[in-house]
Amino acid sequence: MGSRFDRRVLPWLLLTPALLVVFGLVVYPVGRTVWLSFRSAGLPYLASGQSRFVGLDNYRRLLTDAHLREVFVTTAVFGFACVAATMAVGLAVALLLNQPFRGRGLLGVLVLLPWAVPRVAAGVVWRWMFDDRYGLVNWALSHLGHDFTGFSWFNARLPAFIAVGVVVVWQSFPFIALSLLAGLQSIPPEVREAARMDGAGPLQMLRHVTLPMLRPLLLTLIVVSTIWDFKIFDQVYVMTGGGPYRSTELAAVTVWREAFARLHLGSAAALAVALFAVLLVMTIGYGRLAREEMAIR
Amino acid sequence: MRRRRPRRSPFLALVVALGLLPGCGALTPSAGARSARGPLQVWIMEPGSAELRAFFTSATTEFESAHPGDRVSVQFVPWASAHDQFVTAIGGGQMPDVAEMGSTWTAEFADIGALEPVDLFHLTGPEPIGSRIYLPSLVDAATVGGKAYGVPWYAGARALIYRADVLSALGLAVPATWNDLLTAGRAIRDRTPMAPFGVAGDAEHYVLPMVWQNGGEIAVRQDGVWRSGMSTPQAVAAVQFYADLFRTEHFAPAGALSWNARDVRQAFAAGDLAMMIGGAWDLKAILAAHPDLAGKVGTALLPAGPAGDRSSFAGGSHLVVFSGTKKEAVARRYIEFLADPARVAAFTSRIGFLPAIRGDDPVGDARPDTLYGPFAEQLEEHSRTYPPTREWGGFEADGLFTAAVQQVMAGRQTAGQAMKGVAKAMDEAFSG
Repeated sequence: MGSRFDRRVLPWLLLTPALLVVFGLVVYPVGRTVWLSFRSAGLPYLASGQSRFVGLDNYRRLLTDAHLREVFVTTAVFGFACVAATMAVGLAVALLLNQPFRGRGLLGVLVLLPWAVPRVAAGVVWRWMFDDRYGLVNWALSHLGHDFTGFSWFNARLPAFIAVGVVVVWQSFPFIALSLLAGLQSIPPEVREAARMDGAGPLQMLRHVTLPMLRPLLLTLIVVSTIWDFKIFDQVYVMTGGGPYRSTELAAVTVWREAFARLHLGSAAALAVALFAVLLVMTIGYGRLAREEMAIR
Repeated sequence: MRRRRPRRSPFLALVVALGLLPGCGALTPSAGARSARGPLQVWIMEPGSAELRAFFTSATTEFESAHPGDRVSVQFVPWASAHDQFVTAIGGGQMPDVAEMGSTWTAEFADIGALEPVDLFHLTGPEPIGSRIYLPSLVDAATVGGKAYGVPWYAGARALIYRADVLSALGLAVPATWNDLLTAGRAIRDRTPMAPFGVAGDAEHYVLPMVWQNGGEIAVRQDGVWRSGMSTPQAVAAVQFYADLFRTEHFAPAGALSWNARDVRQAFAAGDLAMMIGGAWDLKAILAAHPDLAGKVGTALLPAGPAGDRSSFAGGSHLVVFSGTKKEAVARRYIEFLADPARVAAFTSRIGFLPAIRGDDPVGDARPDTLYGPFAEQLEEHSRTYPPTREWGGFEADGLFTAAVQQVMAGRQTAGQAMKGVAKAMDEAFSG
């Protein structure tokens, strides 16, 4: 036991398969995308590999093209709005499920269902629910008082984003709720009891006990949600296709349109790299925050 | 063993973020190594007709029993995503052996060498030249540098489909001009609960032919270079007319801003629309789903614009062979089988297309006195194709025209402003 081979070589040998997978599926494609972002490449590139070095031209376009700039702002605003809504709904559902009541187990399972629905399928179903003439949403809203008959959700940017946002939040809150529920259940009952003895009401309990104790978990979930919600593609592609007049295009949809519709592969790659860089910076920022948090404890 | 508290490492976050990089990773050229064994891979475009699948189920059986040893696997690809799928397949080297391709895309893919040339006239072997007549516009659309890259298969042109019962109840004549369309539409709008006309925002084949009807050109070729005609007064006025049918005349529900041709068809089938632009394939699908509409619908040529032109877009498809196939002999036999004039005639009349390959006999469905007659007349006498350039497929896939038309329909831009942008984008693409 404990030979030099075992200590020096064996670990690497055991890691090799995993490293190969990571390299093949992550490092190489990302490297290739970065390489492509400095080149001008169209359909001929796909057929025969022709492309031309253009330096920073593709990146310059990101800054000068008004539509692309707008897409970045839209993606950020919509992404953060979805993160905020998802966290709020997820937390509310987790707090609810943390209460003892009859049917809690069943509700816990039901809450998971939206998460299990494939995103494209959800988009198609919800597009019908938001249909201007035959949709369930307009029918329900009209019954609640305000007349929504014939209201067209996909005619302008804001209502279209509300419709898409509902689907995004509906599909992503279960994961958040479940994770937070696990977090809530790990809070020692003594802490709550002590707070209650000191006369804390439910809101004070939430603000001064529950949320602070969930903070590291909340930060992680925010990072994960942010990454998800900045890359939203399926729901937008299915529900609006980026329209009307490209006003609901998010960055991932624009990458797809640049690459597969306009066949500007280089500029699509530059856009993808820029989005990647933004996400990376945010992730590192959150990571820092989370570590400082732990250091304080 | 010492227990360590799990630490969130920045490395893990990095790997997660890397894995979540959007798009683009797979855009790597490939040698197109496809197997010489296994069935012939065929992609057929899916127009949303149940009949199409039924036809192919029996055709595949027939072909396989006529050619022992040949096997065919047919996949159906929806038109809306087909261009992307071809691009992706070429990028990944996963092209089919044989495909049906929209006639406006063939030039684009042929130009980059993705398609094998097909010799139109010798395809059938010993048969003499001239026993078949191909639709000339589809031959042009398949020709790049003097070589043909696709066998014309079928064609179709959209015409006017209307509710005859509604028009006659209101004492209205079938619209023959843009002015008639306005008159009839206003009467239907004001006197019935129906919407008069399917003005859809996401349907370029509705609006672009209006440029021709108004005496304009979508693009013209000067000294070997294509130039956009979309910012000419005729084109701008045509787009404004179309958009105003929606915006100021309210001929369609507000949601039509984001409708495509399929939504229009659904609204017509549901009895919510009195008139629509559509092909015979739309009418067949509508009547198959709603037999109660039989006898209540009529068809006519598209209304003429101020220039007296009634042109529609002559759409159609080619059968193509992707380059690098290792099953050329089977591919050839299969295309010969599908392109047999009698089979083309049977197929097209079943789905609602018109044959692009004719034998010596005229086709029954093309008689002018039938419900489907106007579609044949529209195609033969009043149809044109879009400029057969390699850039066109990109314009369509990009939604260049529809996004601009939507801006005008929504009142965010005038047709003049929107078409200036379209013309600029087209000219940039044409000049490389």
